[in-house]
Amino acid sequence: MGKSELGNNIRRLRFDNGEMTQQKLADIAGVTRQTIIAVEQGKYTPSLTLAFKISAAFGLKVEDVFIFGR
Amino acid sequence: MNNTQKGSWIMLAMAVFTLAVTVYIAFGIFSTGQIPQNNWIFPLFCICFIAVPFFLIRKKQSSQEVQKDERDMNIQRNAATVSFFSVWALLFAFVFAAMCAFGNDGAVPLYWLPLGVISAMLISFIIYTIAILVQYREN
Repeated sequence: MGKSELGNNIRRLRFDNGEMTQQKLADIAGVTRQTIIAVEQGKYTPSLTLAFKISAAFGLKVEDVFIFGR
Repeated sequence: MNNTQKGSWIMLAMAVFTLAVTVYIAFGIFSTGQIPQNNWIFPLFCICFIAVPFFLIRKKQSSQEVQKDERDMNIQRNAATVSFFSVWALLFAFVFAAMCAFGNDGAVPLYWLPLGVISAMLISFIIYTIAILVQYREN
């Protein structure tokens, strides 16, 4: 599995949300911190369910967090 | 390092250790015709297998922390697929090598069969753990 075609704003959104830690986001999304790191770095493409959970953690729509083709 | 990674490192070490012992015993059988008598192998085996669960104990960073998620399961599924095909490839290689070495009318000792199967299983287990570790490194 190479670099994902899916870009994201997770890092920026975490800092915009009171410097939310990766662990805190992982707990809300129900995944491990390593998965959040991998998604944030674009190394892992999350499932649709996980993408929705991450977006919901920031109170945003999926398309506001994830960008296709970046 | 999460539990799956940690477990893979430990399983890799155990599998390599077991394979080394198997090779040692097989070499003893081939050279002397009997199983080598060593008092240290069995206690060492027991210590290793009893000690393994203690290495897997890890303090949670938060009460809601998840131990395993979709990425871990994807990685394990891919590793299992690689391992499954490697068992067949290894068994095919073992049978083909024996056929080439001894010919159509040749014969192999019967204990070669379980040894071949055990070795193939152990090697495929090693491949499984390596596949997990490689995937964690790459993504």
